[in-house]
Amino acid sequence: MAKIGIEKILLLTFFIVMLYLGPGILFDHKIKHDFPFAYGASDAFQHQVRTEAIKDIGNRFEAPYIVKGFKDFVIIYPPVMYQLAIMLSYSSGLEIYDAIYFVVVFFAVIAALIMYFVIKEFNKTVAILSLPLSILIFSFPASTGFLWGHWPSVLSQSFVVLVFWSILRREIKHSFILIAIAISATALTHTSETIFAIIFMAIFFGLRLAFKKLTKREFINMALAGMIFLIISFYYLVIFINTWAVKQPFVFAVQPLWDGNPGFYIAGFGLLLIPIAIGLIFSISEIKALHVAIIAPIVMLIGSYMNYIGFEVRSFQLRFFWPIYLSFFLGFGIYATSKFAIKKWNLMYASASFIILLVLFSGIVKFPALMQTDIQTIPYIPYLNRETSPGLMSPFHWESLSWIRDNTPKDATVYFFYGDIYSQDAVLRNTKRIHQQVDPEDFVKALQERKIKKEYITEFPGDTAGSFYQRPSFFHFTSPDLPSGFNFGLKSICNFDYYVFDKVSRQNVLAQYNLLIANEMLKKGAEVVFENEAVVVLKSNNVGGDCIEEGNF
Amino acid sequence: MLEEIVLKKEIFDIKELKYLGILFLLALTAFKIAFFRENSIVLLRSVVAIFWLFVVPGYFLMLYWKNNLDFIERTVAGIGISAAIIGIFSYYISLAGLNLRFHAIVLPLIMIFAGVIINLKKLD
Repeated sequence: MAKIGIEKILLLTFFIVMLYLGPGILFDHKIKHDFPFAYGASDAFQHQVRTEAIKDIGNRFEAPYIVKGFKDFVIIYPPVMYQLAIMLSYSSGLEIYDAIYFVVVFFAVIAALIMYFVIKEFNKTVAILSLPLSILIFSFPASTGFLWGHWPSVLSQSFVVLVFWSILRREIKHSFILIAIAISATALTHTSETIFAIIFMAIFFGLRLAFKKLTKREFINMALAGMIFLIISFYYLVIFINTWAVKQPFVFAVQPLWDGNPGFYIAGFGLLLIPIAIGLIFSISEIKALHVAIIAPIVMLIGSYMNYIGFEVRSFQLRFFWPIYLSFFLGFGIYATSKFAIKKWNLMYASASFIILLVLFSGIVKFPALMQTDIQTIPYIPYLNRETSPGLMSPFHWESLSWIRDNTPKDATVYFFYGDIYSQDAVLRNTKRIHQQVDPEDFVKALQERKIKKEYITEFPGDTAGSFYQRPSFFHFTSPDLPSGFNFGLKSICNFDYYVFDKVSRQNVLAQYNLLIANEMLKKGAEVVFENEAVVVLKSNNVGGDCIEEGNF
Repeated sequence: MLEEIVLKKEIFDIKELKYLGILFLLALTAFKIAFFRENSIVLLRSVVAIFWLFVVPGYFLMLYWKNNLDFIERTVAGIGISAAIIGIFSYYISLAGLNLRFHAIVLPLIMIFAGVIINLKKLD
């Protein structure tokens, strides 16, 4: 009978605990849900809807309901996440909204395990001590990466960890293939992480050159990896260079805080900063060892602070994975300082420490906050601090969006009046219909003036981060000029086929105003085609005609 | 003769295939614990899908480095490598016109086949 090593038991324990406390809590301990579950912001729905669209119509063009009705706008988002989600959906029978979220979360867990093997090559005890910290990618604020839909960045960072591993294993035969595949995956998942992966490789091999340890074989391997990467990624890089790189060019700027977002700041590690700092100091002293396990976290730490030189959101996104990247410092710091007490670490000591750390981070013991600042809560020791939440979507809203998707003509147009969640406008694309929505400010203003109007200021929501591209030829991209008032302006509400009214709202008066408008439309010939506890959908029988009597109430 | 070579332990390490089987059962157990509210059939389908798309293709591709890396590391890294290859090539064959519904069948099969062939050539 094969000997079951303690290490394997620890890895299995970690995998189970991380699955349970991470995606387990996130998804209410289910994989399949009746609606998009734990979706916390518009971006999450943006990726979910795009995946649905690719599943329906393929990879070349955005679905019209994503890009304001246009049919020839190219998809400029990197494709890998969407492809993986579609294949998992087909294989497992899961809905896209479950499959895509699961892909992102699952590979974050795998990244933690891959990082273990990177660190293990340096020192097995340090690797065991490092592993538990990874669990904190599911704690607030790092978990924002999952909840708010920073999914391409999170998945790409999982592939960045694979880059670390492939560089660690650069000595094995034909390793350049593994390196090329890993870097290409970052580029085709979220290209900004490729920049950080390249920075890591540049620093790693630059140091090897400086210390006269760079071999000819390494040089050839990296050259081959680079060539294969360019071949694999060429098609998408042409899109990236002509779209994202144009509309989000690098601009030097100092941005200490991530405005409007619950960013992860270093003080969020609380008292763990002590062993982490010790680990960092010892790492720098060991830098001549030129080990991937030492250099990778140093580079990613530097990368996470490049928001001070213009990398803005891309640096803040790296911090979602701080519990993985910086885990080496924690493990090394504990290992190095405890050497005074424990002369010789063995697997039993390491295992006991592993269990203790896992318990500390799991949230079983809820430590008080050390300090509250304007920016963050600084803990004594960070721990998993999130409860299950269904997120933005409710079963009633999902039912109404699905009804429109399944029961209206494909070219129908939809107008959304006020809804608490509709400001996260990617939600609305789940109708798979061209849609527009009332501007909440104008809606409130009309309510305050006690007016029923035919024209409201209306937003025409859409994606690709606000700009669209056509592709007349392989290297040529154009961004069409849209007429003034197309995206946002005063529009008649009588030009739509369907109208959506929320019957409930956190501010009841807004829902009541919704229903007042709906009733006026019913008097003019509209009919109720769908209704549940939260939403009513009307169908216009006079599109373009007189759909509502203006007046005061 | 090809059959004899393929069935040799050096290519198909029966012990490692057993480990894959054990890994599947452990993964199923882990999923059952983590997602205890989920229907068993859904869990089974999900784990089978993960193994079909990522674990098994990754294992066969990484067989080439069997002498350099131990089973666990090879399998875990193989999951990432498989995801990378499948994600990238699914994009390109989709652009080429193959309907996405077939990718989940075709791509893992190609990768498993490629892994076996590469290993055969290595032995030759």
